[in-house]
Amino acid sequence: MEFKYCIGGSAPHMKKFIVDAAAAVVAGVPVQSNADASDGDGVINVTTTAAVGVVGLTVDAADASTNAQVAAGAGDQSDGNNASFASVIINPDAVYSAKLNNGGTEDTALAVISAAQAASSAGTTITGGTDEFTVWAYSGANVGHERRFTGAALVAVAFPKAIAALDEFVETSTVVAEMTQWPTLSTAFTQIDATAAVAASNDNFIVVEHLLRDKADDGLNNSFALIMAASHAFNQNGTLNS
Amino acid sequence: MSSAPNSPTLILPKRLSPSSGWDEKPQAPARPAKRPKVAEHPGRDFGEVAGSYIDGLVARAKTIWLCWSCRHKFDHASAHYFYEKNLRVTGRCDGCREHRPDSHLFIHESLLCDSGGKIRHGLVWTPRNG
Repeated sequence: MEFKYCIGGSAPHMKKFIVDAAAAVVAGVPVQSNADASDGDGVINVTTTAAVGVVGLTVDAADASTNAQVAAGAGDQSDGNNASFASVIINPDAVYSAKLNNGGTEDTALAVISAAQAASSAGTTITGGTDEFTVWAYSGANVGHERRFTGAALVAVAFPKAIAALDEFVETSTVVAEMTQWPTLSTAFTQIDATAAVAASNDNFIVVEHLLRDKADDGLNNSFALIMAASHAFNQNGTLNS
Repeated sequence: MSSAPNSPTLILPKRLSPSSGWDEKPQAPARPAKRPKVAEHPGRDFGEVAGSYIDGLVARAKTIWLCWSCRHKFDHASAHYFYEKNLRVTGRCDGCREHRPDSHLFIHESLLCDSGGKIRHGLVWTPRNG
């Protein structure tokens, strides 16, 4: 993931946070406060399905902190401090760009829904779609438009132009501004699993907008969801870990 | 009228009487039930030369932000850093430790996407155009 913009138009606010001793953090991953009740005062990675008390998005990598003191210059410590640190953009209204991914493994290309799309003069029927997913035109006359399925194969609002046979469409489980349909992150937390089933139980991110590209722009490898944390530690409405 | 030392003395007109419980100790201010367990790294130690601290950040490919007065002291190109000219950030300067708005951001090249983000997308930073 990477920082895209702040909804309020403000500049990114940067801080360096100590990383928890439990695990390293990689660059481009949302981090949250540590819920460990016994110890830890550093940030940790979010999980694939939960991000509660998000602190921000990392813009560099860091090893896990060591509990014992270390020699100056050792490990990830720049000054002999045994606490590793990661640079984090902490704005609560920051929007992160996350690549849409075909499954949990990073950088797996999305797939066209069906290679045998039937013609639909009404622009409403997509062969092989998934209920409640977002669908967009990958080729054909409707390129540049996205819709949402309201039942398998049927979109709630018709595409603006007739669908020709063999037009190509791609779908993702993410939906803009949907408060009960949360995304599932990829294994390394840097992208979004666009194939994950609708999971109302996830508590992590809200989709602000989509960047859904077409065939001419390699949309299977180059489409993104722009998301923001639903529970941010520095937002007064955020839910904080214990 | 006598009163205990340091206790407040309230003088009221005869027609008024204090309500019950007026002299009870005030409640302690509410504390948040839950707090995030994170700590900010202090950055450069006092006494440490700023250049040495920056060198440590460079050796570990850390993201660096510098205020307008420290920015010119950092040769980002020779350190293999990208200077994001089209975006300013807010934060405590890695050089002088002063909290400054309008700071300059430097990202290590290993964390950089290509312009437009089409080839090395999904990394950490795509250069802002114009």
